[in-house]
Amino acid sequence: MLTTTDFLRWIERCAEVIAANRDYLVELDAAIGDADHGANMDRGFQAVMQKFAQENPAEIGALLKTVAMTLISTVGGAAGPLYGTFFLQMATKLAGKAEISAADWAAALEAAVQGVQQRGKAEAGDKTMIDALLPAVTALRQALSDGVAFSAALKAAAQAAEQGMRETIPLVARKGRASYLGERSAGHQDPGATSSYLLLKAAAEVWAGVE
Amino acid sequence: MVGLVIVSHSRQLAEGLLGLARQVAPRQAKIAIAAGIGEEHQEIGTDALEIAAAIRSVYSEEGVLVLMDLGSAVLSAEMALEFLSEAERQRVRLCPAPVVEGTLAAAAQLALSADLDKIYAEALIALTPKQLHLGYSPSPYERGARGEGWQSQPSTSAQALPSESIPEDELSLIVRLENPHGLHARPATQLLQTAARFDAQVWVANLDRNTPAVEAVSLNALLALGATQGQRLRVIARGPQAAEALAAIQDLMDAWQRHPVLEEAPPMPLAGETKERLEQTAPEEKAIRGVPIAEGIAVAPIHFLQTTWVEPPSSGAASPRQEWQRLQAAIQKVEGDLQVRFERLRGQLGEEKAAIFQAQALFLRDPLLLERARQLILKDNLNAWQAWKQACDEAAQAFQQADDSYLRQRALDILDITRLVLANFGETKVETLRLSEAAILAAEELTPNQVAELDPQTVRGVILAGGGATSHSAILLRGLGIPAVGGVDLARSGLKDGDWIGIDGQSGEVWLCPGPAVITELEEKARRWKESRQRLLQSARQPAQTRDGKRVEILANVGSLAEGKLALTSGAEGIGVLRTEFLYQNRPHPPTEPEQVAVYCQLAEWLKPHAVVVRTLDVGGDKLPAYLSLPPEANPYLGLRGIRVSLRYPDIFLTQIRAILRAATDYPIHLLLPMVATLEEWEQAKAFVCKAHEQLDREGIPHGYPVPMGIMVETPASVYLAEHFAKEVEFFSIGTNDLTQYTLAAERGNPALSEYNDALHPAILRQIQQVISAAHACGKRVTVCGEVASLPEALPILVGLGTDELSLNPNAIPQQKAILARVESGEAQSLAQEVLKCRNVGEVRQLAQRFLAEIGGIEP
Repeated sequence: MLTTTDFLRWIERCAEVIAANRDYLVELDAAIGDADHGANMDRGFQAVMQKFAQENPAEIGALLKTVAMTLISTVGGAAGPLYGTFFLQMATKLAGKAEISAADWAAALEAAVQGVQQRGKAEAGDKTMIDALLPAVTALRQALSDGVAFSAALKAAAQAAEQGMRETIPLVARKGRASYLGERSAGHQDPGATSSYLLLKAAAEVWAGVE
Repeated sequence: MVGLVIVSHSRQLAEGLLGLARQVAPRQAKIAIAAGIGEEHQEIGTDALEIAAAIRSVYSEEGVLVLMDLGSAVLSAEMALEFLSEAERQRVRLCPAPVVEGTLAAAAQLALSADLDKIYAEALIALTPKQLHLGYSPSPYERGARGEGWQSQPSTSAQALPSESIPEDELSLIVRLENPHGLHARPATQLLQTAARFDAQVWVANLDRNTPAVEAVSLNALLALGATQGQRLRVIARGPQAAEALAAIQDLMDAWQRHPVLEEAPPMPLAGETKERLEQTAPEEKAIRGVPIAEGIAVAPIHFLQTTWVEPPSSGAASPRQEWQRLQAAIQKVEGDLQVRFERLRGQLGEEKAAIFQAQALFLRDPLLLERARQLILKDNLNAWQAWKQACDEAAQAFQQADDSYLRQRALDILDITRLVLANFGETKVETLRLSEAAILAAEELTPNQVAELDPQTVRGVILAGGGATSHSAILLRGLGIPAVGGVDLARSGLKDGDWIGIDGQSGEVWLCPGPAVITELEEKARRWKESRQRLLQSARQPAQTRDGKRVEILANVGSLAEGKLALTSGAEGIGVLRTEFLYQNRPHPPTEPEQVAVYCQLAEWLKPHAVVVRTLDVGGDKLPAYLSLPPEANPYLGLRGIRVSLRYPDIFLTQIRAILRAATDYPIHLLLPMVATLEEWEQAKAFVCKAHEQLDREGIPHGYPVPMGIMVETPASVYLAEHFAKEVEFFSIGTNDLTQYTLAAERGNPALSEYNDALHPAILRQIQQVISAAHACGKRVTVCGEVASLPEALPILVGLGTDELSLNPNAIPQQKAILARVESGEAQSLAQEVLKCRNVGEVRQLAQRFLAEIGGIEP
């Protein structure tokens, strides 16, 4: 069972992790993009934390919606609408709930990733966030249907995302600013896939004790 | 009318593009921008919520076309659609056209079509003229038929007319294009608007380039003709009004020959322009943009500053003949002023808009009006003032009763000329500045003294029809923390007292009659602004020093008791310049000695143990009290002002010096002399101080003597003489505002010259350095006090140059202290050495901004 408090802890952790990796993300983005991904994401999540300092979300859907709307209007780059969609889809799926099951989480994550795919029109292998997110959804589904404990399933999802992220290194970008570089984008890890991995890793860490 | 929304990562890009679009769009066009991110929209990025709001602000049943740049702008625009209702979404179209070309094509099309599909189609092919020009093909126009890519697009009426299909019955004419820049966007827009007035189809071909004829319904098609000056155009018309259409087009082209239509920069949002735009503005529409004057956000009912006319006491009648001559002389003078204003604004606003001043000149010469005034003087024995007032009142009343709204507005022109002529007979205005309830004050202009009277508790904000960012009024408004926007004339807006209005003094936006949602949003923003201002004020109590511990005292410029109090709460370490003019203005007599002593002591009591530097009366130019009857001057800024006035009025000067010395009995008071340009002036002023001391001694009145005395360095003369002055004075205070205007020979209040009035100019920085090195060689201190001391980017430079103290408007103190704390003095010195080598302001700013960004000092 995941409660509203669990989600709040997750988002807090996301903000910490993004802040800690701000410069790393900037560095990755400097190689193949416009060097703002880390700064943008950090600004977005800091704004989210400020929101939560002022108001306590009533339930999971409302919490995720606040995250989504805040990211949309503060991140700025393509990550704004993309992560905005990610959390908005999740919010829609979990609207009105104060606690959810592992299966609900898997369904919500799947909806979120589908939303991102539709918004950015990216396929697997385009060197985008999708390359971390899709394998994570698959791994999570697989682990849950194998009857693995929730915490272990989350860990599996994070590991799959990490692997997907590493596999973006040799790819040639076909979406976003990096695609302007063509072949020269190969050899660099995708910053979007990296931030996606960080968010899923944060979930695996803060929810490690959740049944 | 279809609405347009421009989406960009960059606020500057979107604003620039908006200016271009406004040149070709009909006046009432609804165009909104959604661009940039962060509170000030200055960071690069897009915000789906802002885009959705922009769409709503221009939305109507006729639909909205959204043009965007690239990347996240596209994703955010798509996302914005999700925040609209299903019904709205149906009528919003995202346009894949390149943003600049597409926006201009769509904007021009707004005048011709209410059809979203058609505008969309026109925007889609907007790249064609450029491609054609640069020799890129295939292009639909090049082949005189539709290309392949073309067919997949929605249909457009911009069809080329195949030559074989021109029927026998059409009319045509051949004209030579005389417009200097050829058939560019604005004349082409005029051409197709002219053609659209008639029941006829019109085509145009460029004979010199052998192009096919294109129908004059498409701006792109006309531009693609590539017609330049001197080329021959064939204009073909068909239909019931073919002949009339051709005649009108011929007239238009003749008019171009007489008055060429040039591409020009988007006009500044000055009063004249906004005036006209406002006439078209419906309530609840999106914000209009004025000139930012003082930051902050306010939303409240509007209160128009009421002006009543009071006959000057000296205007008793001479002989009727003399009165009539007096009136004629005044009218002639105003006529000249209007002509000057017309010439000056024509360059900025364009002939058409500046012409309002020519129209007013015609009113002045209106035979009926003049005859009436003459009768009133000769028959009814009124004096010139009374006669002109009455004749104008009668004329205005007649206009006010007209049914036609155009004629009713002419009453305001009459009011304008009434005012201009009456002003020639002396001080005649009385305006009430005390508001009973919270409101935003709207006025033509506010004098510095009027601003000083405002109560920030009730005056939530100010909207001025005129106003430049460095006028004294603007400085005062910033000092008082009253948000203000200039360049917006609401006189013709149809708004009345009590209508709601919102302003953002940072962006210059003004919302007329905002709806409840906007009011709530603005109230929220205003609350946050006040809070953050409060927070900064609180954090400002620490002493000002650089990161490595070098003290640079941060003092306040103060021009009223209210500002003195503000200085205290802002964390000022004293008053660097007490502008004493507020004591002298709007009253029949100069202030008495005891009155002055009381004010100086009050301020010193508040600020103790810090010092208060009292500057003696600094009038002239725009700040003249009525009882100083100085002769009118052609160039007040180069005339009697500053210390020169005081030396001519020994009684007034001596009284002030006595008051200063008396206040210095118990408080650390310094004496500052304004605009000293020569050593003789200094010697004479010093003699006054000795005399005051001797008098007070004789009278047995306690006082402080000697007090530290310094001069304002405001002229290049005192800069070059700084070595001599340094041996005499205790301190220097550099007034960068005047120093800049005198060095660059550019009047401060002239909006056409505002780019010259930048104290970061290397020519000014070198002078500051020269003064500092002369002063320090003799162990004397230097304060920099102009507006420049409030600029974040100026701070490290001034510190690096060795400035000992900065004196600025209290409002900016917290921010400047915070930045100072991040500056390392050695680094600042290197920066100062670098900027001294710069060739222009741009280079200086670039270096300074980079420096600030590196120390993370841009955000307070």
